[in-house]
Amino acid sequence: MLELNEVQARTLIRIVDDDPGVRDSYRFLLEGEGWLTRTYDSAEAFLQSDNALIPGCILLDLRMDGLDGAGLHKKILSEHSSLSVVFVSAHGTIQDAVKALKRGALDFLTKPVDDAVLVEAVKNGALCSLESATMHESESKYEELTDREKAVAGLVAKGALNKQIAIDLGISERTVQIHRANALKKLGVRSSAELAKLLIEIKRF
Amino acid sequence: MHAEDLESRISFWFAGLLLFFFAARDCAAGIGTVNQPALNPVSVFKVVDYCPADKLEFLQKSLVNAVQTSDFVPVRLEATSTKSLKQENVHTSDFVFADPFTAAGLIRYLGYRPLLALVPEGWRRNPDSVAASAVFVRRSDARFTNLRSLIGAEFLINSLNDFPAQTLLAADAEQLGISSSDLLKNAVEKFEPLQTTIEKFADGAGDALIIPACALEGVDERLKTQLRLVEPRLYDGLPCMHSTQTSPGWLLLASTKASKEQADWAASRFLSQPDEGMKYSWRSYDDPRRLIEIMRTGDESFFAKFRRVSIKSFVQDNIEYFMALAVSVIALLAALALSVLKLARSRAEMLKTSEKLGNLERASIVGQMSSIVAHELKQPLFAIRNYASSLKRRRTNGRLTDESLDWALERIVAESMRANEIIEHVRSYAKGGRAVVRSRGSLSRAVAQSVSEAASRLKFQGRIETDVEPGIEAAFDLLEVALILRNLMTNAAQALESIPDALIRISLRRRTNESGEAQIELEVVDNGRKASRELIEKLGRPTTSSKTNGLGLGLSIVSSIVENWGGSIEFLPAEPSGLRVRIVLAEQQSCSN
Repeated sequence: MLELNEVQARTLIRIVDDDPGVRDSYRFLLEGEGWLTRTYDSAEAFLQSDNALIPGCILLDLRMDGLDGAGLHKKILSEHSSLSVVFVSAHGTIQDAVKALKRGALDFLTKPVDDAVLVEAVKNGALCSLESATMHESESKYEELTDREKAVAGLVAKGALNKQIAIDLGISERTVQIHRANALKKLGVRSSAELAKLLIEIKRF
Repeated sequence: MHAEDLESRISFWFAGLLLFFFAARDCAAGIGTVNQPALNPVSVFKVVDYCPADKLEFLQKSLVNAVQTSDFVPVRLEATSTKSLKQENVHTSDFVFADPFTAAGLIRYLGYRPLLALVPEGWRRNPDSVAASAVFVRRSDARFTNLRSLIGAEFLINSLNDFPAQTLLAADAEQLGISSSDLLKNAVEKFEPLQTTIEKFADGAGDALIIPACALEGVDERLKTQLRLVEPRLYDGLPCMHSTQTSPGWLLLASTKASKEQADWAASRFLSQPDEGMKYSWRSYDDPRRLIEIMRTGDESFFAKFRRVSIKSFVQDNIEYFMALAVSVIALLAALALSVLKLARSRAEMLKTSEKLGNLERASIVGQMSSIVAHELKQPLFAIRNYASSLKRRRTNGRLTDESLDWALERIVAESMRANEIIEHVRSYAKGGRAVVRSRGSLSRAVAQSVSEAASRLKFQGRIETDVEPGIEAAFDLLEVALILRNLMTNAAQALESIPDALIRISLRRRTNESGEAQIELEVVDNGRKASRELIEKLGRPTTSSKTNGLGLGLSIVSSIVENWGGSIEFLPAEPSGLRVRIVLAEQQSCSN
């Protein structure tokens, strides 16, 4: 489990709301909890200048001038793979909520939101986003391995000795050692235990 | 020796002295626990930076003894400056060990409680003496009344017998808020018998004389008659007046963070110290009246800093009241809004008989407005609530700085003003009928907002589509836009009852008419039954309907607003079926130039 301050240092909370008073009050509330925040007055401003590479959570007003919250959510789904979406709406209907949650929003809150609920939702959102971003990273690293390296890594993670792996795959022990070292290096892990943990995370174990 | 040297020496001392006692739990169990008080995990003791080394040593020994002889109590000793004590560290320490000046400020403005005083062995007098040095001027010299007036004066300093008179005066000066380097820029240090220096001074050398406060006793009475004492100003009956050299004048205080149990623990452990061969001992000190007196002699600027923080601590200590205040402001505003609406409603009812249509219209407007107002008020109230709960949370997690507090309070005020403006606006609209002030803003945003607000109020099962061209500016009144859309959409929804695939389409766009004039067009289109020629003609006539919630009245509200706005309203059949209501306004260019 990641420490809260580590999550806070690695994520950014986006606030998209067309009411400046509400926007600033969110910022004040969340910065008081130690989150890094950035505010946008419209969905368009968000799309124009947000950095999609930073994981985090977006607090999204449902109804806005121009592109509305639901519209932005659709765009986020296609562009920001790891961002968690939390809707906050002053007058959302049940249909809106159902639609948003079906589409993958993490939460749907109605104004006025209790501060504890909001803070908790943001925390969950950031954590989810960070975890999924980490997983994406691990997956793409894993995809860089050669087939042989993948096979060796799988056996190493299961605790097989180099000698056994050599026999299983019909290659020399020296070659196993090289593949093993390459796989560990490419995945950025240092031990077979870490390797196993990573493979479990990306469901390749 | 200069004040800076002393300070750096002490901070070096502290660096090596950060102690962390963790008496092992099993050890405590071996001793046997007697009503172990519920203490904070670590009791933090802070020492103000210019603490003399021997007092510090005694405090340290006391702590060691207290920890060794008692239950499981981890403590930490840290150095701090007066400045940081006054600012963010207020709530990070449980106990502070400080000189009387600092102690007075802490007690008066930050709610610290004095617990114990340090007194030399055999001392029978007040432990809270202040000044370390005595400053004389000649009785005939009327220029100098206090230490401040002596800034830059020519000082004679007698530093015989290793008394660091200069350093002591520097410490006193700093506590009075005077820069010691300014004060002592014309100082002459004398290394000769005290009597010689005093005689030279009485004969006219220099402007002022500094001697260690303790040496006052030895001054010849005959010479004393020629001299006037500037510092110390407070007389406490000690044989040598005040002197931190002989009288300790250092106090242990409990902060507001320390619990009663913690304070009792510290007091009892420290008082029960074995005192064999020690230079000092602890004594109970629970009457701060003299310290408050001391404070009166202190310099304003020294205590002003405490006072500034005291606003913060006041707010922190009374945050519940502040929140209650915010809540009552909200309640008051809500009550005001309600009474205004009630007033307007009864007024409208009163006039009903005389001006039937207009007043029915107004009553209907007022009724509709109550929900619009409720919606509008939601935003500022929500923002206020966020600020208030955030202040409370920040207070708990230690992120409440002066700046953030000021900022949030400003914003709370601004948001409540905004709420008030909304109410005032509605009130003037309800009262004065059409005396509306329209201001320029984004009509696109107003329309989008009003549509979503109206949509949430409608009991409509079909689809609502909006096609709003962004960035259209116009002079308008948000309430009127809301009223127009609310009525048109309600009419459309009523026409669409029991129609399959019901759809209401709202669009806003710019257009140009035949003569090339820029216009703004707002349309509300439904896909209900085909609009007959009769219906269209009927809609075009001024209505005579008396139904309060019927089609006629809703449209008459819309028509009169549009007319007042300088626009026109058209009713057209929509393709393939349904009704299209089109409102056209002339687009006025911004006349800012």
